[in-house]
Formats: sequence, structure tokens, C-alpha cells
Amino acid sequence: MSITENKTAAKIIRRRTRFEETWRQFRKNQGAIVGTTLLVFLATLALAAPLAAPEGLDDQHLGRRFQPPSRENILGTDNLGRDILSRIIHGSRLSLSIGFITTSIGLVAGGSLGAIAGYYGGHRDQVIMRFMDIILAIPGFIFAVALVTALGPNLLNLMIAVGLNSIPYFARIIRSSVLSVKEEEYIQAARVIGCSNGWIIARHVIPNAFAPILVQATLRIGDTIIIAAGLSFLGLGAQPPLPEWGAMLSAGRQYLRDAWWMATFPGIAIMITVLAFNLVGDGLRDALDPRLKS
Amino acid sequence: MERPLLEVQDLHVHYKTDDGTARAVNGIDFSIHRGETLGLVGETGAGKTTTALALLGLVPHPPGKITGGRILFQGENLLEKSGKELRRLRGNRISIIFQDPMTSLNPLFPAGKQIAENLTLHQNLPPREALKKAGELLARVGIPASRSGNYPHEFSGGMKQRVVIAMALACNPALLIADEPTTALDVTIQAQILEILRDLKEDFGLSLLMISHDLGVVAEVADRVAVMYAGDIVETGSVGQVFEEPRHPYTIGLLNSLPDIDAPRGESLQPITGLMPDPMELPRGCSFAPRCPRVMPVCEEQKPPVFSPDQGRGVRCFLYHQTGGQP
Amino acid sequence: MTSFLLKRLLALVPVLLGASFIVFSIMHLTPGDPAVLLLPQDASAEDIAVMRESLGLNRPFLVQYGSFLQGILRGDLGTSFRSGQPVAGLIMSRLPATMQLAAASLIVAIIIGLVAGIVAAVRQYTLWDGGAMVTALLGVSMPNFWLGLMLILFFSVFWAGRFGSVLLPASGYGTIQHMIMPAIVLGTAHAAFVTRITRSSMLEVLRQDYIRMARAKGLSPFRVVAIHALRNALLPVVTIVGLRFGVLLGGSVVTERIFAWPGIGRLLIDAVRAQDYAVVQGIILTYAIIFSLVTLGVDLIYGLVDPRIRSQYR
Repeated sequence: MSITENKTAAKIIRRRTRFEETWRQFRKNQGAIVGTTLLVFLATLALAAPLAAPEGLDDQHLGRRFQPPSRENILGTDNLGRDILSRIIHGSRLSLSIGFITTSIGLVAGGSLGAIAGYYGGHRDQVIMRFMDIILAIPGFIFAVALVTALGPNLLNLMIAVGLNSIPYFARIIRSSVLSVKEEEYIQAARVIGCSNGWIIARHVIPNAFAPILVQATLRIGDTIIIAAGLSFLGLGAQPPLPEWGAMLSAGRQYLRDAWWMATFPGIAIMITVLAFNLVGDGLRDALDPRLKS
Repeated sequence: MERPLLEVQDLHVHYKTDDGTARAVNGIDFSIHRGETLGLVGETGAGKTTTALALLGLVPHPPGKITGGRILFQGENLLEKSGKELRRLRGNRISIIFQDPMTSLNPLFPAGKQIAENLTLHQNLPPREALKKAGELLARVGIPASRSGNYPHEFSGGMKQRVVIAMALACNPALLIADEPTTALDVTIQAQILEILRDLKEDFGLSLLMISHDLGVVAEVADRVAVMYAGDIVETGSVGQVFEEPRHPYTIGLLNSLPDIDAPRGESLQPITGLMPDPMELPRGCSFAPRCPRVMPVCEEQKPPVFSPDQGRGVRCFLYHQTGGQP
Repeated sequence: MTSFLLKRLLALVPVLLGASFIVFSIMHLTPGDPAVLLLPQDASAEDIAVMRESLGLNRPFLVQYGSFLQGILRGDLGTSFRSGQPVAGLIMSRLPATMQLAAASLIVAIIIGLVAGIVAAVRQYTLWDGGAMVTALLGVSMPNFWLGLMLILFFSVFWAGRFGSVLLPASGYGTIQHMIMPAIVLGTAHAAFVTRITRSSMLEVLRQDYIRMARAKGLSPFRVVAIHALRNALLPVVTIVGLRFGVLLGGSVVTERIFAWPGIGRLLIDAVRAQDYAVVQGIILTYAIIFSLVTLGVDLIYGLVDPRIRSQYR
């Protein structure tokens, strides 16, 4: 009898920490592993772009315009004789930065607003969330078009527009996370021992809302990369000669009939990058959200 | 003696998961005669619900699988029947009531319609007639027929369980399986539901398999009792035999752990120490051996067979091998 | 039900008012003076001042917003700086094309997504499931403008080169053939999202007790899924379709541009390029109104699906 009891006891004691458990679940997910590998690869490529790319981002060779994929130029050359593979590799810096920066803008601004709304409630909540409702009533991409129109089409304004776009999105997620942990007893306890509101939010509320935020932020990076590329495709974002993938696609569109590779490969690059973020985001969600485990 | 309505012989059910095989039911035998009520008692996790699902051919597969045995219903082995043949029996000749009435009804359909569904399916009644009969069935379980158009969320828990009972009885089944039908309900409602079940059992002349962890419930409604522990039936007998003179150390422990209003003041309850073994790692011998106060060396080596110390009773315990029936 | 509808419609008013204010403000910030744009390049400063006066651009911001609002109530969204035509009329002439495209892609996406999601859930962990999930994942990761170009490349460019004529026209409007590629481009991501949400919602429902009960009643697997499970699984699907309708509208802008589809999305981009701000703000407001009405419609569908929600409507 004592053997069984000891075994049970040992099982209870060796309970994994949340991080260990999440990691264990995450690792079991093949998609998540593929996504992580892809992301590491893309990040390395972006960091080492000048080394990894066979040519510089703006090396023009007018003598070899519109070359189809070949041994010298694996993905072909464009209308100015630039190596497309090299431009895609250089462009990975732009797309990844756009994804991270815009998501960070949305996360920080939206997160703060959502945390304030959820934590304090009352009229602050009302004002902030009604404002978010209003912004959400305008379809996001179209709102970004309006902002870029007003601010002027360039890379910085593109990031601001897409970043602002993400604010209501994060505000809602964080508000509901905050609402769900606010009434927990340990938060009440922290209040009783005299912790300040700011301290409680930073120390207790945010860490507990961490899981949904991490998942949504990862998925959102993929979305913002597509939105930004779409705006650039319309000529409302990064302008040539920047090797932004959406802008490259837009340039390739003009030569679709004669140089299919110009439009094809930047699009595949976008797809692979977004796919990687989606795979990791899905993996994190499955690992972090015990409700969805089947 | 006529052949039992239901005979379960050496039934095995396993669940295969990533972490190993859980042996949920390990060779159980029992039978139910026409008009009889068998109480199946045991702790949570003893394999009672799996047994019930196996009778209906509803063990979720994967991961579950019936790995051996026979289930004879009216003399025919259900395990050899096709899916279609089984469906013709389910809800028609064999019905079930699940534990939680709050979640047993589809929230999007009116109660009457959910009852009528059985009738249109098994008795080919036209929809209107089926609905009318559904109303009659509701009245039979004490709900006005006029409420047949109400949705589940408009009923209380006890009333939902009545709806479920009406649904189970719609096609005059020969066997009703009630899996913890009162566990999720308040005590006063529990008594009402048991009362209804007992009445209807008489009216419909059905056999009842009453599954419960609550010895009181079983004592109240059952004719015979089977005690289940870690996938085995460790003791069977009439209600009087099992409750008055329990033989298996587990049954004895179970009864001792109940509060007794006639016990002398100050006497404390005697819980069984330890926990039920993990179904993934069942002991080689008797599965109760690790917790048994009267464990013998043989218990840890071999699984005990069934002994019959008295007429009409079986006990899976080596104690009765040694003494020929008297401990 | 009617009073619920009225209440919800009334609740839209402040939201749309707010949206109109935001749009108007953003457009007001825009660099470039409409008066300058309207006049010939050699116009004198006086001409410009006169033009500003006549356009009402010298009035305080809030007064301008006020008259903009008054105009909206009369169905007047202002006048295009470029063409001199009323904005409302321009939008109304282009709106049907946009709605056709949105409706066609939405319907196809919902049908494909539901079927794929249900099959994936019912056949969980089989090849069907794996195939549907991988396809859906690619669908949500694919930029629709790229998909558009690839379809043109195949059905128009490649096909014409190989067989002498295009299989589907690369641009234009009017026939079913014109509609196919734009609808696929716009609907793909939507179909993929519907597939994913249908599958997970369906898996959740299939675990419920009432599904086990439906099986115990002797219902066939088809009836269990089609009648008992599907309707319960539908609510999250309806939610996602409604939420992502905004994304669909955004995507229609790009799609219309690629296929030269004569909707308000193409009008928007043309107006942005021409700095025709009256048209831009009118179109954005139109999108906001469409999206809000669709969201309201989604709430009404909830009630149709679920009696528990319906009972709160009274």
C-alpha cells in the first residue's frame, strides 16, 4: 500500500512548472517546430543579409535585365538587372522589422489602454472601449489606407498606420485578460497589503495575461506583414527602390507577362514568413491554452 | 429459469493513449433478468461508465476499444452486430440516461422535439404524431405536455433529467441504463427522480442497470448489486447479502466508510487508506491488494478468481478460497 | 425582435458618428490644399484665396465638420475635387460591383470552409484532416494580391501562350467568367479561416454530452453531425465570418485593383492617388457603414441559431 502512496506523492511533487509543461506541449507539435526552425532561419538571414545575399540590394546590371532564373541568378533578375534573390534576402530585414515594429506599437499602446480600461473599469473603461469600437467600425486595411493617405506614403508612415491599426485589437484582448484575473484572490490580497495599482498591473496582472498576448502577438505579426505588403503593393507604403516584398510584387505586376519570376518569388517569401509566424502562433496557443487540448 | 435479458461475459475495454494503455474494464461478468434492477457501484474511475458505453457500442474509438468478451442481449452478441444493427437497438430496445442532465440535452432544440426524434427514428411515426406522443411522455414524468415546445435552458436541472428520462423511455426499451442519474441533482430532487424511475420501471416492465457511486441510491432501488473496483467486479449478490453481510474487503471498507446514524457517539468513520491504482499500471495480482487490510502473499501474485461463498453471490477474493466461504 | 433591432440600429449611430469624425479629421490633416489642386498651376494667391472661401475651407474645423454631417443626413457626401461630380453618386454607381464581389466570395468561402472544417473534425487525425488543415494554413498565410497575380499568370498568361486564348479574363466586369478569379482571390483567406474555426468548434461540440446522447438514441453518424452538432458548432463560425468581414472588405480594395474591378475599392485607390479627399472620406465612411450593418446582421443570425440568445432579444 505504501508503494502506491509514495508513487502518487512523487507524482504530485514532480509537477512541472508552467514553462516546462508549455515547452513539452510545444515540442510535441510538429508544425510549431517547423515554424520555429523557419523563423530562426529567416531571422538569421535577415541579420546576415549583406553576407548571405549574393549581390548588393541595388546592384544594377542593365546588360542582364529580365533574366529568368538561372544558375547565376537563382530567382532571376528584374527590370533593372538586379538579382531578385539578393533583393528578397535584403528585403527580409524590412518585412521582419515592419512586423515586429508595428506589432510592438499596437501591443504597447493597445496593451496600456486595454489594461487601464480593464483594471480601473468605470468611465475610463467606457471612454477607451467606445473609442476602440469606433476605430474597429472602420475596416482595418481601409483605415490604414486613410492614414497613409493623410501622412504620406513612405515606410515610416506605413508602420505607423499599421501599428495604430493593431491598437484596438490588443486593447480588447488585454482588457479581457485583465478582467478575468482582476477578481482573483491573489490580486485582492496584493491590494490588501497595500501594493499600488501600477505595481499590481505590472507585477501580477500583465504576467497572468501573458499567454493570450504572446499567442495573439505572434499571429498578429504575420497579419501585419501581409497588411503592410498589401499597402506597399498599392503604392501606399515602401517606395522603390526599397526591396520591400510588397513593392517588389507591385513592380513585378507590370512585367507579369514577360517576367513571371519578378512577381512570383517575393510573394512566396511573404507566404513563407507569414506561415512561420502562424505555425508558431498556433503551436503556442495549443500549448498554452489547456481548454483547446483535445 | 429463463435466460437473462442481458449477459455480459468476460468483457475487456482498453483505452490506448500516448502514455500507455489504460485497462478500464478487465473481464467483468454480470447479468440482468427481465424486470430486474442491478446496481453497479464503485468509486469514480472504477470503469462503470465505460461498462455502460460498451453495452451501447459507444466506447469512444479511438482511443477506446472493446478487447474481449461477449455482450448477449436477448441472446444475441452485440459485439458481433454491425453499426446499423446496433443503431436500431440504441434508444429503442436499450436506452441510457447520463449523469449530467444540464448537458445531456441539445440546447438548440425544444424538449418535445428531442423526444419525438426517437419516435420518428425507431417507430416511423409521422412528425406530428411523434410530437403528440412526446407530450404524453412528458406528462408521464410529471412535466405538463404544454411545455414540450420549451428549450432546455427554460427547464431546471431536475426537470431536464425528467425530459431525459422521457426520451429514454420513448420507445419502450427492454433495458434502461441509468448512469449516475441523480448525482448532479439536489438531494430533494434526487428522491423525486428515483421515485419516477421506480414507478416507470414497474409501468414499463423494464430492466434497469443503475450505476452509482452512492450506496444509498443503489440500496434503495436495486434488487441485486455488483461492486466494481479498478475495472473488476469484486463482489455480487442481492442487496440484502451485499449490504448486510459484505464479503470482499473492499465492500467491507466501502460500507465502513459510510456514516451510520445508529453508530455509538464518538465512533469515527473508517476511510479506506490509499487510492485506486492507476489503470495504466494495474497490479499483477488482485487490484485491491495494495490497499487491502487482509492482504496475503498470494494476492500480490495472482488475480483471484470468483468464489461463491453463498447462493447467488460471487466474491473475487482469495480469503474465500482458504475457508470455503467463511472468513 | 423589432425593438431589439431598433435598439441595435440606434446604438450604431454614435459609433458611425465617431467614425465620421475620425475620418474627417484624418482627411483634414492631409497635406495639400484642395483649392490649389482645383486651380490651374499658374493661379494667383488671390485666386486660391477666393477658391478657399468658396469651398468653405476658411471656416473653423468644427464648423466644416458640422456642414459635412449635415450633408450626410441629406445624402450628400460632398463633391469630387477632380471630377466635380457628387461623391454619393460616384459611390452608388460603383457599390453594386463591390457588393457582388464580396457576396460571391463570401458565400463560396463559407460553403467550402464549412464542408472542409466538418470533414476535418469528423475525420480527425486522418489524411482528410491533415490535408484540410495544411491547405487552410497556406490559405491564411497567403497574401491575396500574390494569389491574384498567380491566377492571372496561370489562367490568362500561361493559358493564352499555350492554347491561344485565355481561360479566364485577367480584368474587367460583367460576366461570370470575370467574377471567378476575383472571387477566389478574395475568398481564399476567408475559406481558410472558416475551415479552421469550423474544425475546432466542431471538435469541441462533438465532445459534448448531448452528442453522446444523440448517438445513444440510435441516430446515424450523419444525422448526429448534420443536425445535432453542426448547428451548435455554428456560433463561433458566424462570429469569425462577421469579424473578418472587415478584412474581406479591405482585401476587396486590393482585389479590385488587380482585376480592374469597377467597385468602390478601385475608386478609393484612384482617389487616393489623385488626392481627391472628398471621395476618399466618402468611401471610407461607406465601408464603415457596410461593416457595421454586417456586424448587426451577425448578431441577428446568432438569435436565429441559438434560442438562449433569442430569449435575450425581447
